[in-house]
Amino acid sequence: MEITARALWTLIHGLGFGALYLLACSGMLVELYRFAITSSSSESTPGQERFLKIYLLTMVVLAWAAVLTGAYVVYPWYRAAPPPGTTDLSMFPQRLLMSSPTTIAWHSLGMEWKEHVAWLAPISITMVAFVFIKYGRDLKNHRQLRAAVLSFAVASFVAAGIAGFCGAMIKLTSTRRFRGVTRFN
Amino acid sequence: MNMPNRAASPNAPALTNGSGAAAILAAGIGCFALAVLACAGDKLAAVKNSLIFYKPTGPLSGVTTGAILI
Repeated sequence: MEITARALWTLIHGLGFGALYLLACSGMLVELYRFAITSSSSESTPGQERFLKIYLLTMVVLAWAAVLTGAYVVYPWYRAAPPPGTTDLSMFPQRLLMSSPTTIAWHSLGMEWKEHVAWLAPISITMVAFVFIKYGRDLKNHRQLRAAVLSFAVASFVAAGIAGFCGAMIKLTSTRRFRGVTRFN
Repeated sequence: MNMPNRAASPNAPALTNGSGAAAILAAGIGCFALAVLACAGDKLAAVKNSLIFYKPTGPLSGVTTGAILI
């Protein structure tokens, strides 16, 4: 059994940081809603509030780690240009996807989302964490503030979720194209 | 801006909403800057070349670094 450096970094980026962030999002949304909106927030203890602050900080680290490893470790391998005359595009996923009209959308739409829109996730969650750490339970007294925070939290989840889906599909599609599989059975 | 007034009501906010609003505005401006830089980099070759901070990543390095700094 062996694993290449590329495969390992792709796993760390996607399944390590990315998937863990997406899993954490559901808990974050429930806890934020509970703290900021429901009447039961008055029963929450300082210990629970501290736990949510640490939870949000961990999510900030995961989100930035996911986009930074994606942009500076995995993406250079994805966009690498093959030398002239290269016929085996297995090590050049971008060119492999662009070589067929049935897969080019995964590059033009899917990868564009991962390159740009996915960055909304760490930017948004950093703001959410800052505001919650600053305000804590007092957030329920600021209606507009908590509405904006929850909206950004949902936007972060959606941006990361679509990026994760596109990443998985790009990996799957480029692998299947390389193996000559043209459609799902 | 909401002003703290605990004496008036027990549910009055303890903090003003200024710093929270500033953080939200900063996140919004950062996201908008990312979009502007990405579109400018796609449309203008000169901008695209100036956004290459790290060659293996290409213009994306400049787009994202610029948005974060803004």
